Amino acid sequence: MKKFTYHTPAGIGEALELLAVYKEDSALVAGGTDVVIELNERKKTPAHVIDISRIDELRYIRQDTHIRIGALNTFAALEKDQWIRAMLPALHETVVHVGSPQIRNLGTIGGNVVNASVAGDSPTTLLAYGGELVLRSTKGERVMTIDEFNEGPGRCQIRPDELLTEVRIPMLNRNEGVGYFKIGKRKSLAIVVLAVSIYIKRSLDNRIEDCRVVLGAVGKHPMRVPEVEAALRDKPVARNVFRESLPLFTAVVQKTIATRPSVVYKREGVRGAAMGCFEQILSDFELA
Amino acid sequence: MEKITINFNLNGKDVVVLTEPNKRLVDFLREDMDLTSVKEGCGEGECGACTIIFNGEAVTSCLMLVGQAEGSQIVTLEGVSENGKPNYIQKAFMDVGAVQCGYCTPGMILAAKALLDKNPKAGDEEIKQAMSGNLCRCTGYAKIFQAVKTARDAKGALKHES
Repeated sequence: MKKFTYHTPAGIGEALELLAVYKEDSALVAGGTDVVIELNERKKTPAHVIDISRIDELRYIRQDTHIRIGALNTFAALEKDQWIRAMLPALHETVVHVGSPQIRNLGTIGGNVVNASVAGDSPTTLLAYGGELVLRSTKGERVMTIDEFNEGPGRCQIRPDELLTEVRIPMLNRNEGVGYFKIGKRKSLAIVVLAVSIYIKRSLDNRIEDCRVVLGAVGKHPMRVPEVEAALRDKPVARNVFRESLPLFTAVVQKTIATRPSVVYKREGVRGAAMGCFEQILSDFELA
Repeated sequence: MEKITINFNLNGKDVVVLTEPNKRLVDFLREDMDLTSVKEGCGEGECGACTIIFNGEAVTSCLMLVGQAEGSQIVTLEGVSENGKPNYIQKAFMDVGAVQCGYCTPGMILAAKALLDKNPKAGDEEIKQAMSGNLCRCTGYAKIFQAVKTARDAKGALKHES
């Protein structure tokens, strides 16, 4: 590991001041589960390392118009949170399948989002939930949707002097449901081979009023699939409608990664993963 | 490069150490503190061999910088035995024959301890879940699982007697 100066800011303000000074020449350590490997393998060689892992003021989970999740919540903290389990079941389903217990005890949701890995677990679900990110610097604050934020792979819209402080999700009503389904090579310690997350809002006459369909680990970053969304809109919320949409998922995967060897597997797998999401939504709506 | 001072509690003792910051916690524990029970396997957090207990939770020490230890409580296998004798989990691993090459054993025992310290009556599924971040290259999982169940049951029996 290359030499660096180690900083341990006590709070957000101090962290932002360090970022304003050192910018590109610094690396942030939140949980460390990705960046420590990069430092150790000299893929990153910053002159300054800013360890924010003990900034407790970024560990909150609050609710007002949004469900607000401080960026330094670990996956284990989110997994144990009964309230997230009840209000955001698809996010709960996502975090319990991240890495291993050891990694969930260290890794943070903020780190997962900013790393912008092609195979990151939480961005797919956050995109389906219509999640937003709060980015802060000494100059102020800006809010961005996950859609705008992702550039991938490994790239996102965060500026070198900015800190992701909060991930927030609009409060859902009873007529809105979200499903998540991950395919990995095994249950634990598996990165995402393919993930699907789907949001559906149903109207009073049980039609699909709005929806967001998101594929993870198919493109450069989690992506919405307008073709499928358009096909679902205004149709009844019903299992047969969902089943009939499955060939569209296969077509999108085929088109997006046509030259990849994994296409043969993923174009089939996506049907099961999408149906898994739909089943969760049917169950949320008590239509299962 | 400026050195950093780390104050933390290691295996029950408060220690203050001056060290270079550009070091992973696994390397610091092995090389500076001579705690060679902490094994490095994959170096990417995928195998669990370097598992330690950090503020009561199992973590992979290959994914942490030494500076993250500041103010923490760390337990390695060296801190598990009681008065120089194997504790109940170590004893169960020996009685059941859950050790083959032994490389994964420190991490396995610490993952089990992190669970049983918090949840002495952990169910079988909770045990599988808690051990899911530790790989055994000898694939001796059945006996490892059996050992943790045996440890849980032995501890329950001891409490019952006293």
